[in-house]
Amino acid sequence: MAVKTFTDGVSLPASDINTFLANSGLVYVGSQTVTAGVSSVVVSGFNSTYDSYRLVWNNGTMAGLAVIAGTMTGSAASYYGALTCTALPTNTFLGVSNNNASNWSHLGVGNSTWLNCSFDIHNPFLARPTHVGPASYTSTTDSGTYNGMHFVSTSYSSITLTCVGSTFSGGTITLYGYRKA
Amino acid sequence: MERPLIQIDGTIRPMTDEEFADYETLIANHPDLPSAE
Repeated sequence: MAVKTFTDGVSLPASDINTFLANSGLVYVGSQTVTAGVSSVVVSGFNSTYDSYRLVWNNGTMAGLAVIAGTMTGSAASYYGALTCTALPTNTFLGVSNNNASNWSHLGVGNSTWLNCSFDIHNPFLARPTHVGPASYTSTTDSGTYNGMHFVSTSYSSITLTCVGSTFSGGTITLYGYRKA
Repeated sequence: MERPLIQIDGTIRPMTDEEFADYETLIANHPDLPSAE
């Protein structure tokens, strides 16, 4: 919807107020509370309303120190990307690459007291490759960023986040859409 | 062996055969960061 210019002295209908309250730049799509003990979480909500989204995982934890991997739900191939980061104790550059892999390997990290997972997702619902990132990846020993793409021209309505080496134990995952004109 | 649990929009259930196969592949091939804690 195009931005409307309001004029002094002109009536302001409730319908206009409600529409423009809802049409902020970043619009809430949905959220879910993660239950303890699950190994994977599917986050749905991609549709034709938005082309780009932001996923934020707040107050999350895991049963133990572990990494979060991601896939477009149902697809286990054609993932490309890289984690570039610095080892904090040694100030050394580190990296991990995904070259036609089965998943995006480092979309987040966490342990029993914290979890770090937030990133943008571009074009998941369009029949074209999906891009993700930048995904923050920070622990007490490493800090960096992951960016990736899924080189498949297919429409997806959800993304799956998997705990590698442990299970998820809490937090809330919220999906937002970047409003189009 | 008890199947890992998957949560889909708030609903929790054991993984299906296909989901479990993808999960096992992901875990088996996951690259480690060189300086893990």
